[in-house]
Amino acid sequence: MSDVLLVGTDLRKSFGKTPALDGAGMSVAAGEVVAVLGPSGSGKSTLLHCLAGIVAPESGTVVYAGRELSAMGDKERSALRRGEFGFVFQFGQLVPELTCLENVALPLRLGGTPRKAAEAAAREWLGRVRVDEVADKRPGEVSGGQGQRVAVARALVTRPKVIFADEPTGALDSLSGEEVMRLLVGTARETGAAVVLVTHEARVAAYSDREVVVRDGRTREPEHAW
Amino acid sequence: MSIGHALLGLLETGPRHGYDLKRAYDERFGQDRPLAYGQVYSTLSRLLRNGLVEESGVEPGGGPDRKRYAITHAGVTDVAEWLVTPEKPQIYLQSALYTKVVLALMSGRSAEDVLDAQRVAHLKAMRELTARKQEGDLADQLICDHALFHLEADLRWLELTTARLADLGAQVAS
Amino acid sequence: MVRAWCNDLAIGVRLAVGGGRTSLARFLLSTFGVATAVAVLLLAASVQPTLQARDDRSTAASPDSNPADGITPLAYRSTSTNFHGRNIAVRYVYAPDATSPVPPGMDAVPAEGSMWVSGDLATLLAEPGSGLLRDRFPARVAGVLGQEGVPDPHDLVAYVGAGPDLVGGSLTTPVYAFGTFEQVRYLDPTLLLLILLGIVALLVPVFIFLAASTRIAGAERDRRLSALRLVGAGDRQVRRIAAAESLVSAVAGLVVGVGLYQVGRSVAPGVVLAGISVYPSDIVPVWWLAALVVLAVPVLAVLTAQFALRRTIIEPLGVVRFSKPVNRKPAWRFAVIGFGVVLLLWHGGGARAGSEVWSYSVAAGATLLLAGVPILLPLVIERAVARLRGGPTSWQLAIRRLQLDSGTSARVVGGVAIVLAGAIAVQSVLVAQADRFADSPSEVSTTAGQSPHMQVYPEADAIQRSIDLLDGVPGVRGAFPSESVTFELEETGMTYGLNVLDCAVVTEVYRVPDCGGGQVYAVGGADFPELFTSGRTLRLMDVAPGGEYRPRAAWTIPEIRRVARPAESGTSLYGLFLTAGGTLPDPLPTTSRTTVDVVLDPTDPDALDRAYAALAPLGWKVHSNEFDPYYYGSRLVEEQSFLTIRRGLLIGAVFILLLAGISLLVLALEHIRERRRPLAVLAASGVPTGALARSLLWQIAVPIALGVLIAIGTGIALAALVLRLGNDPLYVDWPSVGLMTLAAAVLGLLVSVVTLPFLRGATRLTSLRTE
Repeated sequence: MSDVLLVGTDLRKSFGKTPALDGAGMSVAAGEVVAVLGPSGSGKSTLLHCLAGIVAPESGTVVYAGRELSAMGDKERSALRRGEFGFVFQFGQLVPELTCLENVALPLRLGGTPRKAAEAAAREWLGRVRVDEVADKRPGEVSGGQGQRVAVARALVTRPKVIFADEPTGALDSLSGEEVMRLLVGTARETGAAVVLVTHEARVAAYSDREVVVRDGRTREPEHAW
Repeated sequence: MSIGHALLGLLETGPRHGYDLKRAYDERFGQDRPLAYGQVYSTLSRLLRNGLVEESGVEPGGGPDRKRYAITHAGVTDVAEWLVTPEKPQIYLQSALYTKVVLALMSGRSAEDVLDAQRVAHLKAMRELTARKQEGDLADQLICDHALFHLEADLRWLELTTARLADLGAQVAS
Repeated sequence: MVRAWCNDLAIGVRLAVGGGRTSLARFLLSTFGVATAVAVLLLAASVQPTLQARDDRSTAASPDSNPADGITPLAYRSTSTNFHGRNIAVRYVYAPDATSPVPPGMDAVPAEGSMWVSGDLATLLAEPGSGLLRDRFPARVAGVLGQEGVPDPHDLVAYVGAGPDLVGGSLTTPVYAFGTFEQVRYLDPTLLLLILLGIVALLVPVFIFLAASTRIAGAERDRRLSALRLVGAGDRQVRRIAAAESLVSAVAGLVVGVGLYQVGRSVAPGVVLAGISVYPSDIVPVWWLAALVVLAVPVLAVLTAQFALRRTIIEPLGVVRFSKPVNRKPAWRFAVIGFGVVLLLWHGGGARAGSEVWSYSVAAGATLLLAGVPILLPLVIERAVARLRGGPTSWQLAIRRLQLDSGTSARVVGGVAIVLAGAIAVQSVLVAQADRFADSPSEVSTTAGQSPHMQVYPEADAIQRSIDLLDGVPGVRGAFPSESVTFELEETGMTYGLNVLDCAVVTEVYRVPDCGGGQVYAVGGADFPELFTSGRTLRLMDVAPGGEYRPRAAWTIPEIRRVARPAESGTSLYGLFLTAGGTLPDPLPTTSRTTVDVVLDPTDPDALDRAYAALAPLGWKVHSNEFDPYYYGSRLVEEQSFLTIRRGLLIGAVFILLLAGISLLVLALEHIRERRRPLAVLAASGVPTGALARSLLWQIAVPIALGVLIAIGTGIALAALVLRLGNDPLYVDWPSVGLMTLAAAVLGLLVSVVTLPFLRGATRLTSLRTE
């Protein structure tokens, strides 16, 4: 197997008294697509948030490319999210005030890329996910499938190493969902990005190389799947 | 599935030789099980006998594979009737998987392992189907989706069962 | 580093503008709010320089009669006259040679037969209805006075050229220079207090609105910021972006506000406040105050935006708000109010009313007390709402919502409440003052029903001439000379004046057939000094050259004859008067100049103007007054000031209430948008839209009701404290309290009604769709 890029070990996190993660762990190799499966409330989203450094676990470690996330400051983690990670969520991730093009350009601009260059790159990505036509529309004016494709473009625009996708097709019908998954996994493979894909749908999980199952805050990683 | 109806349906798009029919069938529906020549001709002769197809011409040289078949009016009616007749939903009340889970629970083995192993297998199959779907044409996509949804249904059952294992164990043990 | 910052700011700017209809509305609202605040603040900063400019011009036009070498003084006689209730300052001038000073605003001292007039007088003279005024000023208009010669743009001023004989006039002053004297302004402390209170009551809500308008649509902003965090904006970076976002509307508001201020300046001459109006060029803000406004507004906008984020951690997945904000601490809130009360009780520690310390302590005290309203309100709402339970669905929904978050509505309602409190306080003080004026004789003067008359003061050589000129003028019933003598009562040492009339007049006016010299008459039930009885001996007084009275002759009071009130009226025709001759010394030691009393036809409105016009040929040698205009006039002006302040405050209060209404509306709409889905779900599950609408109404009404209660309490307390300064009794103007309360209630209702269509839109089942 290729190099391990991201490893979470023995992660614990609770919200109030309810434990969301209870010693979960998983690893992601460069360029692989890993599905995180599990019933709702099993803690799979929390696991993703911990791996991405969005949520700090109460105990356990997350190591990305040899650096421990919990040892990083907010600034470093933000920079990591901006440059190395990409995100595709179920909804609510696009900034409603900005046009789709500007949304895609946003991570580049936050990283200091001049507007023109950022928007040129964004336009190219919109083309790659085949939604050029919505470039100047606002997220509220496009369909759910188009919105998710814009989100995919935005996740990929910085050429991240890992894309975190949390139920990316959750709000879509089967056909739009298929499209989004094809584009997400297809472009991720083209750019060599790893994908951590949280889903409760097996059909979506089938786009992965392997799966990790989360149940009651613990991961079961079937060893023969390696 | 009724091969006769499938052949009739293919003939509805135009007269064909027996060999053409086999090729067309294999291409569209025979992914896993291609038709044998014998099966094609026996089916065609049955259809001929029932007046659903007719010979529309013979090319010089003779032999069965030189005959062209065309659909009759009765055949068209038959196809139309067949298409709107619903298939009986297939209900698997006693699947092998269910049996395995119950037996594992009864014998004190880990039913969860059974389920996990099955899920790995299912997902593996689904991955293959997904990969094939992405490379294939529309027909591939349709057939793969069909299979994928079925497998997904199995997996959902697996998930549900896994979630219910505790209850199930208590019931079986009693 | 700098580039990264610029980049963040650019993103913030982008988020603030051009984000579709809703964000445009948000942008416009906060821009409008900031602009209003800026304009009001700039105007407030300009008050002092504006009044200063006026004073400077008044000073520049005031004559100096201290002799100076090498200057032949300008002969200068200042009088005034009235036309249709407007006062016209008339200055007769004669310049003997080129060294004489020229009054400000004109090129050269007008020659005899010409005059310089102020712009408004020129306009007035040119009006078609001013024929008689033109007759009053027959001189040719040589020019229109420049701004520097007319303190108030609406002043009516005429500098009329006179001949060399002006030098010898009895009321002529030699003028060696203009504008060397400092004029001391003195504003009535009660007026000053009212103005201070008014400014405080209007400015404090402006600041609140400013703060509120930069926080419009906070929830939406939070969502936006967390989306930015997800794609990798750092915590600091997000705060910078939020700052830039609020900065945009602040800067736009600043620009628009300066524009509004300019518009306000340009219409300034049309606004007459307390009898004062100003030139646009006068309205210049104190430079450091203007700089403060320009700097403070963006800073304040940024600070409030950051302050709003103080208790929030913006996370990539959303905004974590400490759901139970730290217990609202009552201590400091009450301390602010207590300090305000103490300041008002102390009021400069016995400093003179109107002095600087006094004004500052009173203004600061009032500010703190008023600021207590929005400071106290969130606490009161929180505590009050926490105890409420049960009730119908709509009520329950509203109360639960308020229990969850009452801060935002409390802040907005605080703006309304502070206006109410200020308005109630000012109204109460005003009414108390108005009571004082109710006793004033101004009412009497208007209800006495006397026929109009005028008094003419001619130079000694023009007495007969003026009587001749008035003779036969239509509407003039009679013109007769009168003078007065002064006598002293030996017992008390008090001096009294007594009019002296001609026997001819007495015969004609009082129908006394046997009028003789040296007789004393009392008209109607006229009062006269207790010791003024027949047979008593008085000392007639004369005026020594130094202006001092000295006894001249003794005189025994003859029989006092009572006569009926005449049909005509005139100053000399009432009270006591006597006739010359008889036992009185001849000539009489008159202590006043001879005046000419003119009796006018009360049914002829133009009689007065015709009389003025008839006297025009005498020029500077005569000046006239309508009945006692000076004394009552000044009272009227003061009363007018009160009325103007009252009206100004009312307009201000209405305007601020409007602002508060807009903020309430924004709040309500934002609430609907934010809770679109829950509302739609409620509607879908069968809760009638009416109940939802009522719950929105309650959500606005409950804070408003509490706000009004606090406002009434604070307003009355403030009025009591302020009236205590002037030892006036507290009088609560309940009708206006009721009116304001009603206004607040209507406001709440109106906002709810306006939100209804939006609510319907939100509860349409399409809102159930995500995103």
